[in-house]
Amino acid sequence: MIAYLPYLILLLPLLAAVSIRVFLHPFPRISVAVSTFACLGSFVGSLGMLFNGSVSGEIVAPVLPWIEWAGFKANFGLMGDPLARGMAALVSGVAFLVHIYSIGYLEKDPSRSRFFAELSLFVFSMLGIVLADNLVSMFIFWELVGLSSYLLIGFWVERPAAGAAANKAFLVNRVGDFGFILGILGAWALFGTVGFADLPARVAGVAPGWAATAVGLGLFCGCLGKSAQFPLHVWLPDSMEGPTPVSSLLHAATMVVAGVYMLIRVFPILELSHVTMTTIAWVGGVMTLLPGLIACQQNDIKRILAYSTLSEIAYMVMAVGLGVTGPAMYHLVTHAFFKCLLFLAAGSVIHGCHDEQDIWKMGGLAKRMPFTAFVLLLGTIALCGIPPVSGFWSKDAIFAAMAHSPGLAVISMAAGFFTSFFMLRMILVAFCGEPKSEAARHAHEGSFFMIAPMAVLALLSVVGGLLPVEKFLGYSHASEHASWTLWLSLVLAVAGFVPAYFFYRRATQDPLNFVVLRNKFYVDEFYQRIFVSTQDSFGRLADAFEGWVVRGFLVRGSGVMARASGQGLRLVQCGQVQVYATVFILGVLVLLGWLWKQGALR
Amino acid sequence: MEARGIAMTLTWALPLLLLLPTLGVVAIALGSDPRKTALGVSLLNFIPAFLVSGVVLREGEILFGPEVSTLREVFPIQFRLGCDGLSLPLLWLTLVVTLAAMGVARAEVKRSKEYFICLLLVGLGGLGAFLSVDLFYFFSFHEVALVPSFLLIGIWGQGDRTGAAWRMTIYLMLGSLLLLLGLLGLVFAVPEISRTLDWRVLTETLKAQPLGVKHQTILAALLLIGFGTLVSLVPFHSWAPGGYASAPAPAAMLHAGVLKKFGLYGLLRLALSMTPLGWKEISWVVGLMLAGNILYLGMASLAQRDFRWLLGFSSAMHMGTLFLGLIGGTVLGLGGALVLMVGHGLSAALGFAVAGEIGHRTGTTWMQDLGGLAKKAPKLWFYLMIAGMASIGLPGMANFAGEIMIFFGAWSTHPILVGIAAWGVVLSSVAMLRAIRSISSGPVSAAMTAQQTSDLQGGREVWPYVLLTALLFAVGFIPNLVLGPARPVLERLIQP
Repeated sequence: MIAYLPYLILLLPLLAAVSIRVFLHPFPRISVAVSTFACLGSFVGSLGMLFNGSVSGEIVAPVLPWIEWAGFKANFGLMGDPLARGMAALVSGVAFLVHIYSIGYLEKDPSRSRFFAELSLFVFSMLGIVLADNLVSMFIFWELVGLSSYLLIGFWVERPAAGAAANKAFLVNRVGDFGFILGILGAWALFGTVGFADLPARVAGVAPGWAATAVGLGLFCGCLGKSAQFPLHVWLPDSMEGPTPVSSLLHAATMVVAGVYMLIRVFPILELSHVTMTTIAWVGGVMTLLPGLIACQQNDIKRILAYSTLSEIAYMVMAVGLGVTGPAMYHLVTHAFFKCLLFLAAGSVIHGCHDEQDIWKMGGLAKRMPFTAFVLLLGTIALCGIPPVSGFWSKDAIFAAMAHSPGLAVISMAAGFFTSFFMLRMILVAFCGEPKSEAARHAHEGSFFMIAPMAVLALLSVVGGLLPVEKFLGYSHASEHASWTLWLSLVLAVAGFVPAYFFYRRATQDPLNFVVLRNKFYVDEFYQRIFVSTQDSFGRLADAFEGWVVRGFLVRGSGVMARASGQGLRLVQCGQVQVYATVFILGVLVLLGWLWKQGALR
Repeated sequence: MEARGIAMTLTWALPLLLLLPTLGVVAIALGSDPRKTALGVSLLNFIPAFLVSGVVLREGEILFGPEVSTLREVFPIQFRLGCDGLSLPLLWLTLVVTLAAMGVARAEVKRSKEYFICLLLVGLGGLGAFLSVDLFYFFSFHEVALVPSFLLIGIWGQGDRTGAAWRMTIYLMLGSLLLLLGLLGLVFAVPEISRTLDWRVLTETLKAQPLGVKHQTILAALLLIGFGTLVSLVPFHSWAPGGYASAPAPAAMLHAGVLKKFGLYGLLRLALSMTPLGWKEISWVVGLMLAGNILYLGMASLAQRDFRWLLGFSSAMHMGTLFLGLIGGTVLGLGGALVLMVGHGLSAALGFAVAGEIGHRTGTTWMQDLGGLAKKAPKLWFYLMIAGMASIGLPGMANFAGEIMIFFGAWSTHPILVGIAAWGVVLSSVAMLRAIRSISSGPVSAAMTAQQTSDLQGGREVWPYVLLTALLFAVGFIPNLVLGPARPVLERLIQP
């Protein structure tokens, strides 16, 4: 029985998505209920799997055949090792809370059947990534997650910006997947397997070399896309055009960390190459800082949080690059709690202020939305890594591993300083002082459906650090606690609050103005100029060549000849089928005769 | 004995597959309701197809017609039909796409009698080509399909229809000419004692006594250019995008979905097994050409502003990936090519059906004039998404299964081409997603409101879309539907 549990967990949301799409979409209330209960079912199943039997034991589900031929095996198998079990519980649990929240958030939206169908599709695909037992299956779900993200970002189909953001997200991810699929192909060629279970043994038999480096970097490309790391990070801030529950679940808590999860899965391959590991560590290290700087000058409450997500994921990526997968996973878990909470709180603010997202048009919300303000503050403390809440423990675990990489340590601690700065800036501007707009003056808390999930997540954000995460990851974070990195990071994190308080305590407009930061280091503009425009110019060139030279000159030339010789055009215009058919049959007869002659002659 | 007797009787199902559409043509010519008749015979044809499938799955193949003879003995051309595991998926593809095309075709079109006769003939040509064992019929059935295609574009098409019709016909006729030369070359390459038009026997002979490398190379090149033109391989592709853009939707569905697969089927069936050494010699040329398909046509598809043109370009572009399966030299790649042939046939048919529907309802397929389809016609939008996502290789649908097999199959021999093909996935995503966005999102456009655009109405309009979509998913989830029967045939094909 237990062997089929992973399938149940995986397929319930798919079933919900399909049945809503096919039958239930005219009935929003039923659709919402079906989707939510399917997710609850997955969560309960995941918990059952999590606590079943020995913690370190594996659950091996029966394999569904897909393609197995000529030495190539890509079947669907699900894997229930401790890592997958923990992650499945996290994903389905957070997803369930976001389902509840969405009931309140979208209660007046006429298309909410479609929303919940797409949300269920996402839960299915994400659980697929988590439970997949080989790289090809993982890639399949990886793409499906991309699809559901695309659909959900573009959920408000009538908004042009949402469509643009959805496209950008999908396409940038496709660029990452280009490297990912080549990495998978390379891994198959090099190690002779794509299964996670065989991987460590097969890897042990391969000598490190450029091939292993290339494979590792290819796989890392997949992470760059999905987890929005430089240089493929540009889609994540734009994805905030989607509904806020989507930003919370996909673009903060679960989907964007799939890249990190994948890196942990293929870690034996990465470890083979020093170059790969160093690249990963430094891409992560730099990405902790840059988005933090950009966030200091953003005005959209969701974009500020989005940049902070980029920075936090970078911590996890860096940890993987440093070779400590345990702390990376630990931070992934706590981050899921507090970042999901922060986004839900932001959603509550946006909902309360009637779709206002500019923090400079809020103000004074602490009085009108005390609960939201309180949980947002809790989330902020967790995010900034202030003891004793969850973020402190997980960040501490990562910092402890950096004692011997001072360069990275300095960069990522500076990032901590800026994180505290922009988070307090956001809170002071949006929640303190006088209301800066009519909408902010009439702000109000959302319904019970919105409050309850935030309360649960707030609790988890506080105590999440005490969860026995390490039991499931096979590591202990009792290592070098007293290292200098811990104290320095803590001091810097607290220090970040000071200038924020100084600048933004009573500000009604931003006293700072760094154009480079406001324009996000001009990366979007750079891509637009260099890649998009270049590619489009090539496209127009190819099209012009096609139209003028090939079709216009060469082909029309021969067309004119045909017209002149056969007066053929008239045939079409008077539609004389018979004439054409006669000519054709004559031709066939000539051919027949010739063939027969050839045969008879011999 | 009993079972053998039944199997002998069942061989009549093969000519029946061709007879039914022919009867349909006659009935329409004599005055029965064109659309209903065409739909009826297309649906009825499923019965002999089930019988044929039963025999093929049991016995491996099914044959109809007189015993094989060599050219010396009697009149060389013999009406022999056959179906094995490789023809079977293509037989079903033809039947399904034909049925869907008839379902999408409108009864109230001008000269509806001739219209449906032409459509039936295109489908018949495809069926005949896939089922013929005699090279003469193999070739002629395809030619039979070209004439009605020409008329369909010339008479019922849109845009620059006469130009497109001529361009396509000239290209395809020239291609066929070279193909004919190549086929004759194959026939006359064997010693006269065993000379025959039966490709099954011919394959055996040429495997037992292979030709010299030079001889093989010349023949392979002729076949490549001949079949390649039909498959719109760069630089012989120019007829395709415009032809499809101008064709009425059912004609484009049949041509892109079915007839185009004839060239690939021919290469797989004849060139690969009869001239393997020659094929290997020229594989670098094929590599260059297919890279052209992927990169050049992929780029050009970015600049398209008419959705039909975009579909035409993207359909021609994906032929590049298919060819990669053919030159990969592994049975895995060949299997992938076969799955992708089916997937491409279904998704292209679905795409052209949706484009036709949009064009019919709004009066335009210019993407900048469209917009807001998602709000205005959610069902049509759904199938637009399915067609688009299938064509850019989203997992779950047949095209992805084919592509991934091709990638794995060709990786060890052509890693750079696999890289190019993988980048092609990115290019086609860019083009397709832009198109989907400008058609479906944003405020409802003037074109959509002015024409009182309505969504697909009820089961009567929706079923062709459901049919194609269901099969895309079915093959995507269970590629063995296609691979299972084809496996032994493909393995035999590339055995030396």
